[in-house]
Amino acid sequence: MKIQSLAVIFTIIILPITIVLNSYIRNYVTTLNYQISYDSKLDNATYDALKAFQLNTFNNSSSNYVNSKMRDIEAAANSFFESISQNFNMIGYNNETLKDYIPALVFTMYDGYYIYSLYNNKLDDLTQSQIDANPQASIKGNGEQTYGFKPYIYYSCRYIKDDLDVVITYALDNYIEIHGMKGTAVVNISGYLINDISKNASGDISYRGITISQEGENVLNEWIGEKESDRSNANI
Amino acid sequence: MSLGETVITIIAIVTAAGLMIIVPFSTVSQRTDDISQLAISTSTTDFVNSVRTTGILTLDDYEKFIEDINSTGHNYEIEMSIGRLDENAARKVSQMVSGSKIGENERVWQYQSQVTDLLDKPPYEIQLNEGDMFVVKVKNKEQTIAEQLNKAFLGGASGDSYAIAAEGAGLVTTNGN
Repeated sequence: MKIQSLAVIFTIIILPITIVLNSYIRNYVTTLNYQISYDSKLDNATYDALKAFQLNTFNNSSSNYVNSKMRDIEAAANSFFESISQNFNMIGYNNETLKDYIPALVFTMYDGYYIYSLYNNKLDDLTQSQIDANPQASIKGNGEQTYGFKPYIYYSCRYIKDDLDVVITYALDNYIEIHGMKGTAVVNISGYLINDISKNASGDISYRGITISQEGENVLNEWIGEKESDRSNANI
Repeated sequence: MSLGETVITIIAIVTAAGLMIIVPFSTVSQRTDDISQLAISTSTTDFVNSVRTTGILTLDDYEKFIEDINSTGHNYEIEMSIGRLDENAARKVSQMVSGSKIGENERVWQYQSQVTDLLDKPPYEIQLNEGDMFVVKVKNKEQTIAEQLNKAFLGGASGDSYAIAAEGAGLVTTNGN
């Protein structure tokens, strides 16, 4: 066989393999680049949402009230979508388009969370009739899908065992609230859950090697003092 | 040498020349584009973050940014936008007074030509406020070598496509004054 024929056969074999492998690696590199880029854009938008929430609540004396808190969180969600739509603007995605690609936003608070997601709107008959009488594009009717915040969900769970029927509400730290019934007695207590704490027969509480006596003298008391100069002036 | 052998020889030589010159050239130019992409993404992110965290856009920062991205060897088109809140949102309010929040307001947008006009006049800086939005988009002006080879051999998209682009946007987190 002539060497030119061998060269052509070599090219025919190697060229398709090279092209396919090259294409595969290019796709892999492009995918990784997109992953990094999208993660970065999401991180930036999340940071902007939290920063907006911080700035909005910092100067607001009523930020702990529920309606004020909802308003702050809705403003933070708007900031998130605004920031992420600016980051994807070059590709042509705007606010409304991006909502279809974001299944949910979860705002984790101290004792519960809000979820911002797509849901089926549920209206009573009176509200539906008012909307039918005055239809507007921004207001969705009964059964229509819309984006919005769902009601606050507490970190709580109900426990039933024998005669114990209580609901325990947890928080992000070790604070818990217990409400319910034990037999016929109402249970309504709250406090901080602490590990490694025990009570002996005499009623003394032991925590991390320190014994706290329930009886005897009062160890801690409140000191109200005054300056020496004030006392001498008072005596005069 | 017969005619058939001559034709095969010519085909083999042309194919070898193509493979030995064009394929490495194309691969290297694609790698160069990837490196340029990474460089301008990093520069754009750093520029946007520096303006967001200080609240001030100076002419010096802008010129340094242009210098950084042009060091990749390509020419880029820059689009800066500033979305200003048209009121003093998130200000301290009491319970009875209803204030506005960042995220509820409409913005007044200033685009590239307006921003550069402001930067070219004394004091050669723009002060931003908390809640304003700062957006930067960068894309290459001319086609890179990889783009030209891609179009020539694989019939890639023509027109306004670009190989190297970066964008950064974010909320300004502090007042610039």
